[in-house]
Amino acid sequence: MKFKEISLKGKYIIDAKIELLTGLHVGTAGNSLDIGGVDNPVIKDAMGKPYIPGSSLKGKLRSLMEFYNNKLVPNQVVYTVEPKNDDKENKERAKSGIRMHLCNDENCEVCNLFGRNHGNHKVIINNNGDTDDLNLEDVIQPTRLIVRDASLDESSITKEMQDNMDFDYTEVKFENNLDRITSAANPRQTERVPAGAKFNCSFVINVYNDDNDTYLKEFLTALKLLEDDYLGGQGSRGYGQVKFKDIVIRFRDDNYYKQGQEDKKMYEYKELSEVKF
Amino acid sequence: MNFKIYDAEIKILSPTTVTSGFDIGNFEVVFENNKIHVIDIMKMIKENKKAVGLIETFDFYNNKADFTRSLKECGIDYRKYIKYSIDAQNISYNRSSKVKEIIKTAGRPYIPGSSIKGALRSSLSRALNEESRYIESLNKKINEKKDYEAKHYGKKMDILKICDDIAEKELFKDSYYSPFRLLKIADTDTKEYEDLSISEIKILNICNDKVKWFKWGGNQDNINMGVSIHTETFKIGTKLNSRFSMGFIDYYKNNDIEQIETDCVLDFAEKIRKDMNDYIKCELDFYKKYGLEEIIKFYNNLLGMKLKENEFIIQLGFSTGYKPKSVIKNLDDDFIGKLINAGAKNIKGMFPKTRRLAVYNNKPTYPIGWIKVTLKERV
Ligand SMILES: [Zn+2]
Repeated sequence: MKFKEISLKGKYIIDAKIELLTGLHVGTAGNSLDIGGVDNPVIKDAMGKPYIPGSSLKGKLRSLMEFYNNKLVPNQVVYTVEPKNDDKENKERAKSGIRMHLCNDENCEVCNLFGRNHGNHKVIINNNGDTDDLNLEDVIQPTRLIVRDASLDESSITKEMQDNMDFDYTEVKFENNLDRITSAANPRQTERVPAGAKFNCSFVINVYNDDNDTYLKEFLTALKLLEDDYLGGQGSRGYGQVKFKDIVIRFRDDNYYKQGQEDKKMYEYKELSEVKF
Repeated sequence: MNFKIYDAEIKILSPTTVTSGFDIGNFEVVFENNKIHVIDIMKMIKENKKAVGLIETFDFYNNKADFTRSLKECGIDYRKYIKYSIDAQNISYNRSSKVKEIIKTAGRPYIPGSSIKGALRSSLSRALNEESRYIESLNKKINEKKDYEAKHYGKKMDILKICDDIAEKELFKDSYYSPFRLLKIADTDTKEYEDLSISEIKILNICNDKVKWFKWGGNQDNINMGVSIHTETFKIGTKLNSRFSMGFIDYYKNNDIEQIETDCVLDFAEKIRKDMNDYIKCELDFYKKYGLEEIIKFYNNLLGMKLKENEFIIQLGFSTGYKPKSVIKNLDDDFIGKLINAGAKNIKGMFPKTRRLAVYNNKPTYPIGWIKVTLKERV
């Protein structure tokens, strides 16, 4: 493996609050039964507090940027999970796998910000889902973006909200799946964190070589896209609308790490609409 | 790449509710001065010793027992323990009636995105005009019932689920390819209790071509004798905000890999306007036949609305009945009979001759659940 010469110029540290505009459901792996006995529980930490895993936040941001930058095209999409169906002629085959963008373009803003996975990849080369081998060794770099788990700001759940909820931090919704012909209802339970709750989130962007603020800008675009989309489950049915608030961006370089100086507060925004580069 | 997103303002045109699935018990409710007061029973017990005695002895299972009067007789001032109060003007309410709760998040009422989406989805599916294909395929499936059950050792075929699955399959192959995946509708913002009122709903039943009002044990000629359902509803004129997003729909439109027929959701406002226009005309014919003046007036007003390019009206939520939710415009009795024979028992009585109407001063006044949506595209 040959790393290109990389020098770390510093780190952007981005802290912000995520405010829920509608209820949020980030589920657990598998459909396990919660201690509380809810059918479809949200993911919680060891103390029983809901949180947003950094990995799901990062995955969502990446996927939005893939669309936004037109990266989901043949020769730039790989399988992260191979399709089940081994019928090579089957045009629907591609859909049974899990796909993401990954490429060897050293200027790719998505791969450079969100990272490239090591290993051998199968890249999809046409609309029939045919694949070829893809080797990324020449372009592998340490990932720039690190997304921390976002913890619940307990004070955002008011006493009034709590009095009206099933649990300390969450409520259980019964949503009807309407039968298209009979309109008979099949109630289904979903646990969610209510609108109004806030999470503390934190991101790090490593700045290499002549990056300057290139990837910071890309990152802020991704946050804006997330506000226009949704986070977590059942987003197409109303859940997971979020807004970023109180965004503070600091820069830490050698002076901070080696000289013990304070980091520089570079930017401060009440909300993303104030961001103008 | 383009990201398509609209701010949506929802204006309530007739009493509208999506219910939470819970009832507010008659023992929690005091009806006084044209308001329904919902009592915090736990608080009352904690703070008032007399209340403990009353709760222990009061017969909550007796629908005729008058809790409000008992409170007064015990000298308990319920006003100290009111959780919230809701306008309940021009309706009748007796102690035996529970109140259906409107869906709330952390205690505040709203309309779930899923309910708005459900209404749009049905309307847009109807607009596809693929009804005959759907019915044909459903027919075929019902005819396979015997074979299916023999092959699966007597396991019953779930006909309602199959109805649903076939609709999906016939219209969009399977849910992965459904263009509705791309139409994302946010829960609305929340509203205050002042924005709610209690609606009294009666069930109109046409029997032998005559207007009757539903009651357990036998339909009634006199509306006063019909069963009342009470429910929390948004008041007419209330405005709520949601967000409709089609995200990166351009990607799907132009992308051969995905093979999603996006046409179905494009220009949705225009399609819904047309579908609703047809639907309202049918409803008008129905009500004209039976001379329900207020309802006719309401629907005439809807037809007369000058809706702009970015506006449409639609019906959603509780008690809107079968028609607005079905992908099929016209189901004949023959076919309904087939469905029932195949085991779809729930659909008995749901079909075309029943309507649920909001009643004021014992007069049927509104079909419930009508809203107007105004879209503003974000740039
Ligand atoms: Zn790339």
